[in-house]
Amino acid sequence: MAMRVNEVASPKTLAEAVAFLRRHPQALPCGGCTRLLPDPAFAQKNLSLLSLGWIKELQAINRTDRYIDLGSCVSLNGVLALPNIPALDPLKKALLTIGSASIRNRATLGGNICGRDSFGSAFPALSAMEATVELRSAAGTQWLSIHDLVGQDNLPAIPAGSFLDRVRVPLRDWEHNCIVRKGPGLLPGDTNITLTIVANIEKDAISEIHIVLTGRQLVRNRALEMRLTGKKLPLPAKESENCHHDFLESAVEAGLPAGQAIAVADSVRAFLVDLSGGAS
Amino acid sequence: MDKRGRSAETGLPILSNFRAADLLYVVTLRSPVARGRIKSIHIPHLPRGYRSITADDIPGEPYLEVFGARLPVLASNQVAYQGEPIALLVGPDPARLREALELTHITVEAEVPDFNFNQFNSERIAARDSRQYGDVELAFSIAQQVVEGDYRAAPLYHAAQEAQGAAAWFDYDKLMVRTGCQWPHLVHRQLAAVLKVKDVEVVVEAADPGTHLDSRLWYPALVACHAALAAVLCGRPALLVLSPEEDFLYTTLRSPVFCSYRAALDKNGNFSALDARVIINTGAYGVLADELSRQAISAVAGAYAVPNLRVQTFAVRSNLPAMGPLAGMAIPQVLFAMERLANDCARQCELDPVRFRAANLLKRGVDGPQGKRKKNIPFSQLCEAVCQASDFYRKHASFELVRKRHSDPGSNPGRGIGLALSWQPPAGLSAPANVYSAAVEVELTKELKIIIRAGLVPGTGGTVAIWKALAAEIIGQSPDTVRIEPVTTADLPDSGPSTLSAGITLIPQLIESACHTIRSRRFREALPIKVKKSLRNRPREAVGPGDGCAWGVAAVELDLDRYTGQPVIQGIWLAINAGHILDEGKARRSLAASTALALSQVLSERIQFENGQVGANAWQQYRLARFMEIPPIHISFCGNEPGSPAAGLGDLPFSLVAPALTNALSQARDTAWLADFAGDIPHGGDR
Amino acid sequence: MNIQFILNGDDIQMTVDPADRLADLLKRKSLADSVHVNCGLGSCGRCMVICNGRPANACMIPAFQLRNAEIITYEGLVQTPEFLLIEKACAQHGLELCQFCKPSVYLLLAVLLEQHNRPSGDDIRQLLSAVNCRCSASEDIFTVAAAVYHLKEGRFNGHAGK
Repeated sequence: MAMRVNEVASPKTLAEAVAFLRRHPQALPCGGCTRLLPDPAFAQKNLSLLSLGWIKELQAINRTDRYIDLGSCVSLNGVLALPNIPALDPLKKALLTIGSASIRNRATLGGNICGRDSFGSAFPALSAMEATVELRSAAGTQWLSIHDLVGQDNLPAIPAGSFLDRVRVPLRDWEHNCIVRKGPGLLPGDTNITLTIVANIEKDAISEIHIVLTGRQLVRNRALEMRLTGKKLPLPAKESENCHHDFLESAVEAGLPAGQAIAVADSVRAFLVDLSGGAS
Repeated sequence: MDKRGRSAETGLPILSNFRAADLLYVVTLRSPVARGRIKSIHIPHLPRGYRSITADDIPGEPYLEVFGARLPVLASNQVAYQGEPIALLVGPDPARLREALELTHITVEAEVPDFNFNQFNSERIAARDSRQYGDVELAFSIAQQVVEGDYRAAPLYHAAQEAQGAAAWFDYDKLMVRTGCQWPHLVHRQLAAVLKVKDVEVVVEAADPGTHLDSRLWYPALVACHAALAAVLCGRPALLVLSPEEDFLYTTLRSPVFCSYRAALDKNGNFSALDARVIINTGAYGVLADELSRQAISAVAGAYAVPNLRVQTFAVRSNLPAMGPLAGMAIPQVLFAMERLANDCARQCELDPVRFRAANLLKRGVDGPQGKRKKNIPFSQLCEAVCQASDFYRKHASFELVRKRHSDPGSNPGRGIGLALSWQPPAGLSAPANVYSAAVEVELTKELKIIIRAGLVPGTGGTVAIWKALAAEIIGQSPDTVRIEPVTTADLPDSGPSTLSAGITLIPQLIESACHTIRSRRFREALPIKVKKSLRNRPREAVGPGDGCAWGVAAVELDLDRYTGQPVIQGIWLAINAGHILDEGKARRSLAASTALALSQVLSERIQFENGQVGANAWQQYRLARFMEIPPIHISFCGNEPGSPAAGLGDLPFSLVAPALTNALSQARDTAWLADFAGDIPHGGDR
Repeated sequence: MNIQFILNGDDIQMTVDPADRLADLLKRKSLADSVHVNCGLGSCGRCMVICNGRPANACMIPAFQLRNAEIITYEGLVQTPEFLLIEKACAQHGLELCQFCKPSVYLLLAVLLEQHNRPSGDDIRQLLSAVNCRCSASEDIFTVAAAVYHLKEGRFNGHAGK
């Protein structure tokens, strides 16, 4: 099924983009369109599109000592091609699970984050890495935690009349991290989920750990993260089992099918066992 | 590609590149339900130059007669599967046709569909077969051990490079039809009957079917009839190419097969009896039911000697789209079950799988279900090659030790290596009614070019390269001077379907013979010299692992990913005995490519089902394994003796990889029956 | 809408629906028969083109993003010296691709040739995995990819053809 496009604007400056959005608040901002085109949810809809790919500012990458700013229209391969920055490891691993090299040439970071009805694979990585995002609208710009893009229905929610400007990733190394993507499909959703776990260890204790799961919904158990923080390693087997149980509960509560929930809880347990040095 | 849009290698054109002046496009109006009675079809008013075609417009027979089944060209009353063609819309602009399709409304009185094939009544049986010898009950009553298992082979999509379709146009007084098919003469016969024209008035030209995996055996006849109807009724060229999603949802999938096995073992761990029930879901109309049932029964005991046997096969109709064979004609599905059973029996007897297989193998001179064997199965030779290359004995023993000792029943041992033995039967169909002659015409022109016209559609560029090299070598020309002419039904008699490596086992013999004749006449007669050779393909019974088969053994080693639980293939080893290998390099590359496809089927190609049929978003969720996921594939050839006949080997990986991989998985997961696996692991074709 | 882009060095102007995809446009207007519209999901890679110097799936490029783009298809590649290098490497290693997969694989190999640094094995695997080739084994294609780069280095060092 082909989508129907009523109107498309391809502004060259941020001001033009904002002006178009002011006139057409329901317009859909798009980058590489790799998520838009194959998604049956968009087939048969009459769409107004705001193509952001021509705006130079949105393709910029800026780095300081403490963070790196990635424009929302930077391609996934653009991020992957960045010179070796250990702090970006979890993000790069997540991006490598997306499509093929030719798709990643066109797919943009912003497009992956701003899915309307499910989360892309970069989202949990950026969430675990405590990224912030800048939104732009007629009212100006505002910086938000990436978690603020999660709406009340636990789905990604970009406020109407605004678009993603850039993503700021703290340059902080995560010594231990893993990305697990499960599911066969091309599109995120019910059958595709991505789990990101990042952790640091100091003096044989977990100094920080973030566990984020996304698919149709976002799952994050902050109480579990708090409980694990400061725990001495190796973790007792019982503690790993408790974590397995707690994360399983959170996943089921978020509506994940039982089989998938068990599989991701198993992954969390495996990570904790590895963290304890139990892995071969 | 040459200037005519044909492949330089195979001489076949690509269907979707078909161009013609005043071309009309054809789209298909499909049934919205899986079973029911059509009440009404409301087609919106179509502009000038557009028209609809229903069953009432068919001038001849409104049915196709293929492989023992009769299925409507366009359903007019009853529909038997969701997506069954009901009408065609024809016009010059595909976008407007799609709009019209959306505005069309079909009212169907829906009936309760039958998707389940484990339980069925006699009305749904399209074919059945049985075989029994010895005293099975007595053998079970005195058996030392009894091993039981239910094994399922899931439906698979024949993912070719191009969706199915056909083009039709007029060339003076003839209707030309181009379609990517394996059997142009089958398409030709159906067209003549449906259009009610004489045989000479229709010519079918084969387009490149790509890596078809037998998906083009009969379905092209249906789309060819649709395109031809449009061309005939509108008097203009017509092109019908299914959308990729239509191709996935409504053309043939591989028949799902359910095998229920019970094996009796004596005190030495040898089979004393086998009781098996095989149920094949043929989808709507029961196409290929007889052939699949016959082939399945011939393969049911694998390559093993079973003194007492009782087996029943049922090919059952359902309200899924009509199914296809996928490489191997149901043999891979049944061998999958038997090889899994052999593995489970070996484990039960605490024997290593090589020893168990060797002890139970069919022997030369011994009577079996396949008659008296003249030759031994080259198992030990093949097994030795695979086991040495993969270090099978050591790995299997150590993984088995880990499996037995692992303390945590909630976890997995995590590593496994599995073995499988399989064969590929000679080319041709087993049904006695299928009588045809493989034919080849070779011409040496005045310009010293060699032109080959083969009755069979060549499978791949590699096959064609072998034909070219053979002809060039015998006549003493360079391979560059050899040209393969496109296959049409006007030139040559029916050579049967291009399946089970027929292009390698039948055609080279004929090319060789024709070229030798040309060589002997070359300097005695004026050019051009044209020689035609044919080989009568005698009807045969499906006899299972007969003496003319190609044999293969495979080993697969895998780990389970700690985080995802998914199998990660560490290595795959194959040893093949296929008689004389015409070109070892090409054979190796062809096998490696087929092995990658077979791995993809098991690891990735899951089809999402909802309420018994293919789910609405299954196409978006379907994925093929990427190159990155394919491990190095090690292939060795045994028994490659010039002079021995060439046996086809291209389909062997489809019956070797799945059982070897799942045997490895059952060791890694410490699970006896793979059918017990829950959730989405592994999400491949075979379970 | 009217769009203008460069296809294999030729200026192309056409009126299109913004939602049209490049793959369909090339096919419908007979601009590039080598582009095969297969999955329509950016998955199979048989509609591969080089868009502004990078490989891209033509079924994932909407017409409205084509403005001023530079597109190279297999038909364009055939006219370049890189094509000859790839043909040579394939012939040397006996790689015979079918006519559906060949254009895309060749374009990806050409992209490898354009890289300044010698691509690692992983780079090659990542890039060539963009085509779901159904006719040839992955290892054979990876071998050819490495050989193509080797031939290119030889050419720059004056050893071409030796």
